[in-house]
Amino acid sequence: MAIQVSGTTVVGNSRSLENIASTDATTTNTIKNAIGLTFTPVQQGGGAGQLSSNKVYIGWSGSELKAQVDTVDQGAIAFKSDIPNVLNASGTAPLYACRAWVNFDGSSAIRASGNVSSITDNGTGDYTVNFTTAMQDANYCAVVTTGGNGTSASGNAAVGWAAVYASGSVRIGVSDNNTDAQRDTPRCNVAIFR
Amino acid sequence: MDQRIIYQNDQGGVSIIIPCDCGLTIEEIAAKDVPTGKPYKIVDVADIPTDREWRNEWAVDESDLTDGVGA
Repeated sequence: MAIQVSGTTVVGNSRSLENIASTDATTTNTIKNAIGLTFTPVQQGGGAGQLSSNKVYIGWSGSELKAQVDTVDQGAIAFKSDIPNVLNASGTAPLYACRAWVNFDGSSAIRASGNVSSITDNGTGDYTVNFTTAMQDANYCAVVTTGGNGTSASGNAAVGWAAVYASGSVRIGVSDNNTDAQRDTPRCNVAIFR
Repeated sequence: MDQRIIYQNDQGGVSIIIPCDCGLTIEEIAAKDVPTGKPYKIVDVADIPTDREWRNEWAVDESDLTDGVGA
């Protein structure tokens, strides 16, 4: 293809518009002007970590902006304003996410966690929660709760608290509700907000 | 993970690190979560006593902690 702009050939015969767009921004703008485009086109793929051979569709469903890659429907695109609704949060109060959490047995096992690399068992009722990725500082809110064995609501309660705050970890204690002596507990839950 | 990391804590007792399934290897967790300068050893979970009645009395000979040092 040869395109004449003001009498000058600016594109060789073997180059496609796709190749021009991906390799030469100046020529792309020249072509855009030559064919009368009033906007700058968006390139599909070819950026960092992006494939180039897929066909990407973006379209309006009548209520949502949706995306499809080749034959695979990617669903609706969520925007910043959609986030509260996605999280089932009504009203206008801001949202602050949990940055790390863990549910562990107070003696030997971790049931589930997020952004926690390990628990250090320092002794009876004395644990350190180590974060996989550290917090920005030690001024976070650490919520510590304890739980029973899952079979009864009766029994001697334990109290958990955060004792030593650091950006990479939080050391917590668990004590008997009556005697104040440190003790293990069947369940210990820690959530970090910042 | 069926392994634990042990080191001698500042009180002379034994601290036991229980690793999470967080994408890090146990060696990476040891390097990160063992306090700086503390020698440690990686052991099988079966090597940890299950009777915790005297948990605060557990002790370890620091000369046995030969797998590395906290970074």
